[in-house]
Amino acid sequence: MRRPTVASLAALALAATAGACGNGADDGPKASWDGAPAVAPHPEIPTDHIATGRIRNDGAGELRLSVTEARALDVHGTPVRATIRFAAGVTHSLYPPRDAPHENPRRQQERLGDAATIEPGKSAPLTIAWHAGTADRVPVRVDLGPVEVPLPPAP
Amino acid sequence: MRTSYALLAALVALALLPAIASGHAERATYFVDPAKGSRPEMRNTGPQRVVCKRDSRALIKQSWKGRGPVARRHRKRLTKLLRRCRYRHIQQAVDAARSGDRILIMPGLYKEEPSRKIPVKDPKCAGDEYWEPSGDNHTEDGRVPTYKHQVDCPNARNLIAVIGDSLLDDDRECDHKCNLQMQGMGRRARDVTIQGDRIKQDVIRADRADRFVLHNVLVEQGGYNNIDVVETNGFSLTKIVTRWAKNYGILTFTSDNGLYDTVETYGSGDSGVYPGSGPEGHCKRYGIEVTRVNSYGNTIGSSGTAGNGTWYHDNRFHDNAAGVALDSFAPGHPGMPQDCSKWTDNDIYSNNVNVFESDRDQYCNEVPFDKRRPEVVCPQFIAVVGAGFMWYGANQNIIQGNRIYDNWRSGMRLFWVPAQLRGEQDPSKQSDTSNGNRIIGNSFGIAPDGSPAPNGVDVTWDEQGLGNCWQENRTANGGPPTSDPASLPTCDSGGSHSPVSNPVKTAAEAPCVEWNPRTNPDPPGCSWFTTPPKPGS
Repeated sequence: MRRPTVASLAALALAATAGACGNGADDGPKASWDGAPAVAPHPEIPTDHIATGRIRNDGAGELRLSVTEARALDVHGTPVRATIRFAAGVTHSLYPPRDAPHENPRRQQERLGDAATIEPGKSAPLTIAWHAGTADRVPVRVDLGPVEVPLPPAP
Repeated sequence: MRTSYALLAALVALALLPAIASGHAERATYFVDPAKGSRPEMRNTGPQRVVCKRDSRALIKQSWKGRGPVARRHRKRLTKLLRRCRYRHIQQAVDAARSGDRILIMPGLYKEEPSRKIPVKDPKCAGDEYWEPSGDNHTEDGRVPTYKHQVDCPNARNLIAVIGDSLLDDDRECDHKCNLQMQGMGRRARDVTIQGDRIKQDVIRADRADRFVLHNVLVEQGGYNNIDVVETNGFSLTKIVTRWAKNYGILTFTSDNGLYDTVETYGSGDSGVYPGSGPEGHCKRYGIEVTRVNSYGNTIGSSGTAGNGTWYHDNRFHDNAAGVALDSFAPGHPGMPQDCSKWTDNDIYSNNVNVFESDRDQYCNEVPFDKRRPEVVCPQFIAVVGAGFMWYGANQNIIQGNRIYDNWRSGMRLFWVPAQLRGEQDPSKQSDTSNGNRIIGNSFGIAPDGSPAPNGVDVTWDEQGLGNCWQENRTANGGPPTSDPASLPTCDSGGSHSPVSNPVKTAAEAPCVEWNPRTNPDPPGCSWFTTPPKPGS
């Protein structure tokens, strides 16, 4: 009984710290593109665009990111349908999606690009793809949960 | 001290993580020692065990009807052999067999009813010693069956099991039921049909069953694989028809000294044939030969994660969604990253069948495999519709003298797979694919009659890798293959020399990982699941 209580308290403390960081404190989570991302029309789908590069953890703590929390947002802050991956290329899941577990372990999520854990000063790949729509339906930033990064305009 | 135990336990668990063969959870497997084995030949000698059905005699007469001397001779020979029939089920003959026996299977439909009655979760093998961790939360509560499970409960997950290694030693080598030959006695492979129950994973499993021979049978409707050969040193699969498996028509894994010859394979949800975790010949030898395979109507004609050391020649891979895949995608495959296979004189054409369309998705989502119409292919994994060769993370392969045509997206695709995507974090290994591939003397976009049959683009490449080269390839108009990028490095020049790719090209493939037929069948930024227009249309 004693150990879970201690663990729970620690988890609560961590969550509280993370929440505080997310509110814009100076030592809170920060990220930026590590070099300029490449932004271009999709090579095989003329109506889609791709942005790809690496995001760097500029904060003091570990960044734990998941695509389930990630959204591409237009200039009004409205989500735009997009694919967001913490990956530079393609792979596939261990199991056929129809037979897959409802939850993947974190290790598998990170392999597939569903999630990324980035230590301070380190970087991870980030790829975003979206259908090129009308001008105000184009994503201008990516909200990754605790951090966000801008999306340069497509050429 | 407690921390040390925890660390030790974690390390042990990691070391025991099993191979996950493109989604089929397999125990931790190891390469056999090729020097200790050899490829078996078909034998006409050796003790016989004859298996038959009540209607075998009628089927023999039907198959060999007529008054000609050939038909009469065969009828007489087989009818005489039929008198020696002692088994009604193939597994019964396997159980009775000793090393070197021949199991002669008379014409008929074999459903293996006694095996079907054994539950998949056989209570005999419920104990912890029958399971090892799968490294995730899938399969049987995060576990996969051990080799001991195959020994003690051979028919829990396999309709027919040939299990060769004794548990009395730990050498992982065949001790009994080695050099076993299972042979259909029909005129055609289809005369002996071995039908899966669509639930058990394998219809036929040969596990550490060195020098295993399977000849002249049709195998169908496996709950995962129709034919599965694991950790087997020496195998021969000849004159086989295999169809309608949930995933793989024939799968071989960490096996060596093998032959696939004269195989017709169609209608499977992943690949017609899959020589995965292939022989580690390191470009000095090809331990598995694949020839005279006619693979069509599958999601992929042939694939092989870590499909190493295999020589494919004189095969046809056509009318699948994608023709041939080689990859270094998934972790847990011994022999990663993929390397050193050879493709010569194959026909890879018309791979444009879209199995990812919404009507099919709906049916496949709503109807479980065991209730589906057998002939409906439900794609199990992603594939590039309209691609001949799809190589993602492939090294030091040779493609020479093949005919690659009428694949509406790409004749071949060659892409980098950063090592991280197979779970390898070592920074020094991130560019260890795709390098050293030589594509020489093939024809692109030319039908067998010499007329143009263009691919969408002959070569689509993300411009990454060291030593990739294209030379002396022919096209219908006499020019170089069409390609993206516009020009390709020659072999005489030393080939490509960029360890990094064109990032947009590589990244443009990434969205396809999101494919989920239930929740996201058409991810933004993924081109793979749309049928490309026919070139010139």
